[in-house]
Amino acid sequence: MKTVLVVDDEFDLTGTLRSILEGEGYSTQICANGKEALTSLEDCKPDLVLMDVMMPVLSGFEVLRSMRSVPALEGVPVILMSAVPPSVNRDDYGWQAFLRKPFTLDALVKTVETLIGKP
Amino acid sequence: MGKAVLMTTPKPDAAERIRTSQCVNERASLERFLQLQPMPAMIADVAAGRAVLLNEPAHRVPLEAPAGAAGYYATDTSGHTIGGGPLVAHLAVRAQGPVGVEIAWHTPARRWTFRVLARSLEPRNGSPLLSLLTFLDITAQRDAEAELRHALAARDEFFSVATHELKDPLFSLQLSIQLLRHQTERLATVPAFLTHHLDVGCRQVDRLTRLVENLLEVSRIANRRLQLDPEALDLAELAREVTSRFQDMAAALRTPLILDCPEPVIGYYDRLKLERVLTNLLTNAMEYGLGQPIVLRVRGTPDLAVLEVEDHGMGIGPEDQKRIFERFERAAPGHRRESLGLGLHIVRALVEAHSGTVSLVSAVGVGSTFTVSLPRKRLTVPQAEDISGGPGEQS
Repeated sequence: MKTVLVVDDEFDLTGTLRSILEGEGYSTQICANGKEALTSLEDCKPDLVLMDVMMPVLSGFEVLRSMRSVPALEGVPVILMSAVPPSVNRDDYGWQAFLRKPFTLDALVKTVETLIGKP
Repeated sequence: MGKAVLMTTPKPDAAERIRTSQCVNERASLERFLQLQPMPAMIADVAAGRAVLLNEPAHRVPLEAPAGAAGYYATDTSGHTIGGGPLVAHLAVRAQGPVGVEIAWHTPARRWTFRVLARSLEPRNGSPLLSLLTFLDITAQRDAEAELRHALAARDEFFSVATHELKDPLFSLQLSIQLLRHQTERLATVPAFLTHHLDVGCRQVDRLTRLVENLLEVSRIANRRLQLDPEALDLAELAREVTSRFQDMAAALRTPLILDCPEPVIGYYDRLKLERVLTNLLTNAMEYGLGQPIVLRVRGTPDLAVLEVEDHGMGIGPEDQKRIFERFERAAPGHRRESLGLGLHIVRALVEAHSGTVSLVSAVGVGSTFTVSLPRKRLTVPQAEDISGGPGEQS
């Protein structure tokens, strides 16, 4: 089963994202901040990371930078979520898709399917 | 910090010069004239760079630094110490204009803000060039203005942060309702009232989201944080995207929504800002269109892209047409009281940020057509001016 690592500090939102993705047939892992995400990434080896940008402890950009320096995680696709467009250069950090909050359920499912296919 | 003493105690020779160069009667007249001034004032010997007579209010400030005292100096409106020579000589020259000059006068006890006016006195009997300096105390006015600026900045900052705080739970709620609706679509039978109330929930959350987005946009405008991020953009495609988001609302209001954009119209625009422009114009048309057809047109000329939103609803009277673009203004009567009156204000600000214009043709009982004209050439994008120094945008 394909696994999506969902990283966001909004508890209710991660719960909803989990329900949506699991409803579509994906497995999920939830992390509440960037530091937790870095630990989980090594353990669960997800097929995709769905991550907020502004988070306590480590921001989404900082997690991305760390991920790209680890060969095992280098190829894991990342969807960033934020209410404002990214303030940094995509080429420097290497995310695959960006979802501007508020986005729709359909937009989320379509973006996930585009990157890793159906479950 | 360099010390610029406004006045030092006149040496005997200065007073002597007055006595010898002017008759006693003239000096007495000057003194009487000076004492009649209700505000601090002095007669200055410009060449000597010192005051020779001060009135009682000037002594009370004091505008005269006690001999050997530290902590007396003047600054300009930028906060820079005024130095490079005697201050009275500086003021006698610089303050001759119709509005004089503004200075802050610092004493160990307090700070004053003065508008200083200088007027030259006609030399007589070989007397030195004298100047009358009057000091209008505007300290309270400037302090009140600073307090007001601070309060406005604090209000705008609170507005911005509060709006962001509203956005996160709204998004979570919006996605949850979409999830519920999505799940009901997979069920074989769903009670009609459940579908109905989920649709109501969806529409109301969408509406709240639009209101919050408008609050955030207006706080950006008020804080001068409006910044364009232009890209090559097909306005016909954008119009299709935005219109598709209004299909549920159009169906609920039984309002035909017609899109008329036969060909691509490409220019360099900020996608999010023009989405907001179209969203606000369509929301207005839906709310005040009385269920009559609404048409969104997109046309292009070599120089301009033109977006038109036409409704056949209640229309806007001539007396209201100018003010509806102002913040917190709504057309009256019959227009909804719960509207914040921000939508058209934001439309105008965003269109003008693109160097475009927005116009309105409307008649009561006939309907309204809003026309947005945008240049198709590349824009020179000004950077946002952050006047508050507060935190920037957050996700």
